[in-house]
Amino acid sequence: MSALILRMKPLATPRMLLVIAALVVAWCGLWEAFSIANVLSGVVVAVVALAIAGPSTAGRTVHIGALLQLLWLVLVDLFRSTAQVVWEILTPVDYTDEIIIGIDTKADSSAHMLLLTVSITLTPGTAIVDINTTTGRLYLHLLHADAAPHVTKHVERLAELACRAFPTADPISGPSSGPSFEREGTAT
Amino acid sequence: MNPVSSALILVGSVLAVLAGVGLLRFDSAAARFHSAGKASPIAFLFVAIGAAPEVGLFAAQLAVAAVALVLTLPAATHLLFRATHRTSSSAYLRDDALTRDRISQASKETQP
Amino acid sequence: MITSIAIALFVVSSLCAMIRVIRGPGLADRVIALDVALVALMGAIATKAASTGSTTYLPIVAVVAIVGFTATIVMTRFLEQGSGS
Repeated sequence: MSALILRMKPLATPRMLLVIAALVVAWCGLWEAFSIANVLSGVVVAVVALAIAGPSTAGRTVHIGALLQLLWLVLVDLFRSTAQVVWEILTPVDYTDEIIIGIDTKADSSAHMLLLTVSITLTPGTAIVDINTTTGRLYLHLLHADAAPHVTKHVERLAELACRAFPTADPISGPSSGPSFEREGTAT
Repeated sequence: MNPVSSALILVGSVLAVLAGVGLLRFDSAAARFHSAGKASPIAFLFVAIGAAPEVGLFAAQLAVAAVALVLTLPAATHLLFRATHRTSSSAYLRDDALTRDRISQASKETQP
Repeated sequence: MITSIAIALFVVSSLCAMIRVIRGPGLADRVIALDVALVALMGAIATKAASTGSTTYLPIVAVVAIVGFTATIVMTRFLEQGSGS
């Protein structure tokens, strides 16, 4: 209990107050009314949730321009991947040439990984299989091998935007963060 | 229901049917994961945007569900790809950078 | 009428997912098929709420999204580690 109260101390900064205000608005939105009871209970729930969650791994600065550019690219990719999925399902040709490629980036924190996972999975024809956080190497699974150079360029651009959006994110460290070959060496 | 909401909900339901058809149609498991994992969150996103003006203030719950789905279904698809790759023999792939790096890393560790 | 067409399409989608659950060679296919069936369920509830304007069943949509995701994560972990550990 005292550990929980200790974790509430860094919550008084202006950025954290903004986050608490946004959470209270979302809580009132779920209850459909802005009454006093909703606002007070929302503040209590927001503070307890942020204290349990601990300090955020996204770092102290957020570069809004890069974040907006990334979100715009993701939106455009959403529609492109919808069109490609529809096209591939409706045409009778069933030719898939699957490969796994590796791409080197500078992404090393869990905030980068979340952004990259969502944006790469929404890119048509690609999915992330594994990430090596110590060297920043992404492994992607492609459905069509001849799109590999184009996908590599696109993913490098996405990774650079993600690193610019959260420049001070804490890197993941420790033996449990690598892909499977590091873990298989220590197991059984 | 106004026409724009009806059109968006119809587009969302057609995308959900295409996700289901894609599950049945492809022979390789990875193509099935690709099509189902991409089409499902997009389908619900269209339905949520179409239904939002009709339900008024309760759109906050639809927005929570849509954001949760768009953030979590791609992560779940990635975990499925990772689990399938780690437990299978990957004999159908033309070229596999992950297994190559894994083998070279293991050989570097066994050398003195 | 649009509501009936949309809900019929969601039912077709979940039937395809159920066929994949029965046929799927392996656990991963069944997991992704159940996710597709959950999304079809959420879409059908949202469509019905939009057409009648009654919002009684909307909290189910939010809860199903989060519970479905948690179940998928647990199943993928089981896939990786097997039933021994």
